[in-house]
Amino acid sequence: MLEIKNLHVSVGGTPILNGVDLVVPEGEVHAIMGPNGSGKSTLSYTLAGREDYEVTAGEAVYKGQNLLAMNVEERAREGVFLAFQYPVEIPGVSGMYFLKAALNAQRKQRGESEVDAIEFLKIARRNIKILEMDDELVRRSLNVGFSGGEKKRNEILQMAVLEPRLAILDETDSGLDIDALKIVANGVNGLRGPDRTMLLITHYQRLLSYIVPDCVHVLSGGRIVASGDKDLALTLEREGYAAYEAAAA
Amino acid sequence: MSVLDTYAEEFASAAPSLPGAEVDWLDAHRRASFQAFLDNGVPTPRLESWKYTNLRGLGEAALPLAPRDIDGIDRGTLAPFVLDGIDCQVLVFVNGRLRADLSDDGQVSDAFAVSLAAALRTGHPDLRAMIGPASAAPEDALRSLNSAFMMDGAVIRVAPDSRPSRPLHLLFLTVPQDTATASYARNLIIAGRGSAMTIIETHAALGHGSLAEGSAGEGSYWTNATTRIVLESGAQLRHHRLQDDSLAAYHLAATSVDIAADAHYESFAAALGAKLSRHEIDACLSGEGARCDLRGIYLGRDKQHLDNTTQIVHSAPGGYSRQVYRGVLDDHAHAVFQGKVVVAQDAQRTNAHQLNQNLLLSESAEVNSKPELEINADDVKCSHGATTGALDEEALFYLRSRCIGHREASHMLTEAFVVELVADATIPAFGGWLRGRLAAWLAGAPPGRSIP
Repeated sequence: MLEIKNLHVSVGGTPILNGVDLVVPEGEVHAIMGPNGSGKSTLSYTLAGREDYEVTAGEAVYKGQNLLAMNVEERAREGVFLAFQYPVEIPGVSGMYFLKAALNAQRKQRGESEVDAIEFLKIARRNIKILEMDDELVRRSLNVGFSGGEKKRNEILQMAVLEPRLAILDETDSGLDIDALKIVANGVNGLRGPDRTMLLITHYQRLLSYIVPDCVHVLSGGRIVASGDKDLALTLEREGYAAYEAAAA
Repeated sequence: MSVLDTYAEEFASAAPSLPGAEVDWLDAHRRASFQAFLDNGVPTPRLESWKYTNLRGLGEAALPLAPRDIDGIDRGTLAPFVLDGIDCQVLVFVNGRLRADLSDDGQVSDAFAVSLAAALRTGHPDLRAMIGPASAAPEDALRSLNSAFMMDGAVIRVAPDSRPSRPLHLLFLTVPQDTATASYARNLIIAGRGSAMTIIETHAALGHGSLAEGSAGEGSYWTNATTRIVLESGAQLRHHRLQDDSLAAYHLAATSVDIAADAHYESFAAALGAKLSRHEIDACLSGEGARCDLRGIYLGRDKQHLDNTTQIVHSAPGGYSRQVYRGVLDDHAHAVFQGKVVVAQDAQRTNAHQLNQNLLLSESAEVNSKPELEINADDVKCSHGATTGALDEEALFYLRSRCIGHREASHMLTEAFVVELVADATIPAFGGWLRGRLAAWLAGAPPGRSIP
């Protein structure tokens, strides 16, 4: 499904990823954990297609295609979804209008007909309910005036509506209280399936108690330095990243 | 023959057929105003207030008045310009003159609106004071020219304490000819004490095919529109203005407003059309507690030049003024915003804010934003701000990461930049109509409609 080989990425001339190797088979949920500054967000942005992130070596193959050759919207339409750590506030663009435009762009790519306003509302409402969101909030300007938790739920709402094939959740747990975390985790778990692959990027083990991964990788110094099953996360929680940071340095 | 000689020739030939030619005071006013124009000539960038807007393109000779008789326009033709979902009283002016056959009856219970020509025929009592004296100031040269040539316009009086339920829509349409022509409209509006009303003013072009295709060189004309507004004490007037002229046109307009105690003037001015456009607003807050909101948007592309020049004079205590202008510029478009706020010595407790924000979609687009504060009182709150920038890359990335293509994402963000201001500043029917026009603008549609 996703195969990353020897990926090197620089941001503003500074090397951040220094040879990431990672294979995520279809339908699996993999967690990428690591200390601050290890390159977690760089990896997620690079996979989503940020143009100011320079790939200096390596490759990423997604569904047999060269992911790095596609632009941002092409990747999204092929099913790559990044749930942002810091979702962007966009004054003047209504959340519903935006989401309908996004869904129809996605459907067009999949050869499906565009949904009309009524059909869209049905899809949106069903997911708004699952995520226990406020209907009114979603109608307002996108993410404007949302609390941190509301923004994260809104990301998962978009994910639920767009039904991606590869979802990258970047620090989705940060800024969530325990109740909100459960709701978000519940939403994400509901989206797990044999044709949906997920990368959970997180600093803490907490999220992984609610979304249990098939595999856990440790990213440190811009490389994957260890991989294991879900118990690796518990070890990290107990012992910290110090051992891996030393190894990376 | 010099360019001013051609104006003199045009004035001599046009004057006898202009409305009110038989009214002595008006004839004298026209002549005095014309002389003032001759003394000053067309404004050039040597004048401080015309530094960024050059009228060279107006040509080497006076333009003849636009012809009166235009066939082929009926109410159906007007449909694209008329607001949906709201009952307006519409006055239609074609080539600067009222077309009674296309207009609603001007006599309604709470406000009456007639053409300037009709008001002059019947000797309307407010006219002389509203037209005022001739001005010798070089900055006023185009207003002087308007006084000399004014062909028609709307004369409106909103009855004291009345709240007419229907907005009044003044629709100025120009039908371009094979050679360039000029129209001089003059509107006079009195909002009576304690009244409340909405007036919509639209300027657009109707053409025979070529216009809708936006071909260069054709469809050229000059609109010179001057509007004088008086708000009596406690009056509220919302004034929505849309300049959507042909991309070959020159649109030069001046709106001057006097705001009495506790009255509130709210202007929203959108400029989308014209090759070169300048809208001047001069507002004087002459009574205690007067309020003035000037808001506007401008959208330019190709080599359009769009100028908004405002002057707000606080001459009485406790006045409140707000200005927010937002512009979007693509290609080689050039915008000018000059906003001057003057606070007189007596105008204590004045609260005045001004903001000009520009979104540049191209590296070749250009803005001159010039705020000017002149404060002669000590107990005041005044501020101004200006920003100019490109589309937010973070926001673009976010939208694109949700499958939305670059072009559509840019459109969404561009629309969002102006749409909130439109929603805040206008009645829903106008705001909705303008949103439709904005969507068309984003899709690249030129202004104007063809006559079927």
